[in-house]
Amino acid sequence: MKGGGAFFGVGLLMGGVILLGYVWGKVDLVQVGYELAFLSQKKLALERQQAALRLQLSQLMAPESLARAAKRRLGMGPPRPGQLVWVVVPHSAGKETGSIAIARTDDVEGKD
Amino acid sequence: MSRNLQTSRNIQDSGIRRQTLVSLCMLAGFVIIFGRLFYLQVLQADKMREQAARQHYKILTMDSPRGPIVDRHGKPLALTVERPSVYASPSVISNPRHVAQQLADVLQLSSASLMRRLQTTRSFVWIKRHITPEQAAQIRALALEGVGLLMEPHRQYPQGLLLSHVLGFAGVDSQGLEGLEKQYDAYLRGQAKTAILLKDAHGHAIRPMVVKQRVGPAGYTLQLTIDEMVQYIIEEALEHAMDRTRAKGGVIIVMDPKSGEILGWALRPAFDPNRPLAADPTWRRNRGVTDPYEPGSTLKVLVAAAAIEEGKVEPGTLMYAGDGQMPVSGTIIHDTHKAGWVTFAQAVERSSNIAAVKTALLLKEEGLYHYLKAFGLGERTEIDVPGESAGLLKPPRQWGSRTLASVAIGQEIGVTPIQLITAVAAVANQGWLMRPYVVRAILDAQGTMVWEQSPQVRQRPISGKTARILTTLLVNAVEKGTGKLAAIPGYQVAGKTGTAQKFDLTTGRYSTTRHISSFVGFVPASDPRIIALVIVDEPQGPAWGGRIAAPIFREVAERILQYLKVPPHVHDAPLTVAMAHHEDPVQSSLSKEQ
Repeated sequence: MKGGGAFFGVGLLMGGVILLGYVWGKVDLVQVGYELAFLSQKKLALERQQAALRLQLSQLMAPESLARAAKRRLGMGPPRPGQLVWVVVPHSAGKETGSIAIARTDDVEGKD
Repeated sequence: MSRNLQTSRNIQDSGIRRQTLVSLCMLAGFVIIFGRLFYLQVLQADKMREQAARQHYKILTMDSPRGPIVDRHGKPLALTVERPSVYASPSVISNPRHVAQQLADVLQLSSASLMRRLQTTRSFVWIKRHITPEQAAQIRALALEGVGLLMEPHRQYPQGLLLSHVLGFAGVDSQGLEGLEKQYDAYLRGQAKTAILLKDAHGHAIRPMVVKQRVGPAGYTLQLTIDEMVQYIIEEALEHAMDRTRAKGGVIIVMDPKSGEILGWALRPAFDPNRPLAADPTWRRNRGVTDPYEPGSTLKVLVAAAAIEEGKVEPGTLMYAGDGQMPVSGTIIHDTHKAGWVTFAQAVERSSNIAAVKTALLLKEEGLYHYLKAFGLGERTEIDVPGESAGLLKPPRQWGSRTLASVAIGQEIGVTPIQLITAVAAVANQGWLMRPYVVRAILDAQGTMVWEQSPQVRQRPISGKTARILTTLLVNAVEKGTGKLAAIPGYQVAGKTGTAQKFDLTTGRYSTTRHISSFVGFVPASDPRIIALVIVDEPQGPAWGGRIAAPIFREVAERILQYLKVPPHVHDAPLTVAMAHHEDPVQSSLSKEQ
């Protein structure tokens, strides 16, 4: 009779532990779910911010915007005829002859 | 004793009856409960399951963002960002007058019109879409009853006016309405995302318990052949030209003649695609493809090409251009200068109308028509821009007695700017006529190419030999003739000017005051990198193509050649710094120190 009661008690305890573990897991899962939902919202907000910054960057990098800023802050403009010097890079081993253009800086008043 | 027994039996019977009654009641109760359970669980199972799902699941439907449009180097021309929009639920607003007044102040809307919207019984109305973040913050701070904010995708064009006629624009619901936005809407528009999530009693999503998620692909990226820098150069030049000439309008198109890729496409008047409704609807029309015009002397390039190809003339063929006047079927064809005897090369150089008419007479109606068709006039170029017109080229059976002479000098024929530049590009491309195009590739969200456009040959109206001869004549036209102001030091430019009188519909005659000035040319003539067409519509003052359009060509072509790093011709001796050994100066100095 005593052995049967102990067996029943241990069974009840084990059942309780299993039930507690199950509920604990469920609660934990829901908690993680809320955290994930919060992080998803944060990710969405950051994506929105990234899109807005990308738009701002492309507005600032637009040739018209750059030209305006270069003229206003540095007094720069497109090179006038005769201001360009072509530097031809001579042929070197394994490379084709290329050429690059650079703007002359010694005649900014356009005296030529 | 017996009475007591009787009483006891009565009480027992009464207890049994009560027990039976209670049992029956309970049985009836259980029957009702089980009946109800059977009704709900079996007969109404589907409906109940649906109701439970509605309470526990949250269905989210989100539009995928519209794909961007970028230039040939990936620089953004159209982007999608999210902007807040204000909505209201009129059915829960107790004081609509107060809410309307508060919203009107922040959104700069009429309080009366807001009142009308808020006094309906509807559960959802838009107040204003795509407001600024500052306005959204103000509305959030007001915490108005029944008023909320939703984030919505909003199309933005970071470069403003740049390429607006080609790009077109998208509407508030992210649908393409004009231009490439409309033409490629199916690719640009992303598929809607649907996600079904479990939610708690407060309606909050429990993220890990996603029951089902179907994610559609985001909108594709459209990569154009347009070069942002070339586009900027021509937009700026055209804007200055409009100010200088006070013209009604203008067009500049730049193309790679070997592939048919469009590098730049500018029109005036222009509009800002960020505020398309603020512009006159006629300003939004892409006149580069929609509006045919009489090209004037620029068409002589094609007449000359046909005559050389047919062997009717050679550069040295002598022609009598007379004393500057030639009667044709009751009208007189004029030249600005008395030419007398000239070679065919000189006639092209001076843009002689009389020589052009005489050349056309050698070709006859059928011959000229055949070549104009072969160069793609009178039919669409099939460019991937919507709204293209086929132009106007009547078949010879519909030609009048003066038509041959008129067509020879670019009248009685309607061509679109894209038709003309494509036709002349064939001369620059050894006689091969290409199909022009503006969309280079379509990329998915990961940047993988899903479709690519490759150059397409339409036909070959003239041989390479004819193209080379004609190029020489067009180089002369720039170096010695009417196109002198298009010449670029250090580069050989081949081109032709055009000055066309506009037809006056009210008088039924050609106007003497309204002209179209144009220039079409390619450079470097020996190995063309670009071909450009410049059209100025109704410039004020002198309207000669050589005076108005040729300098614009020079300005844009010179800057584009510099940008493309096309070195000048060796004859003009550019400053050359030749190094004996191509070595790194830093490495060199280090090795010397060692």
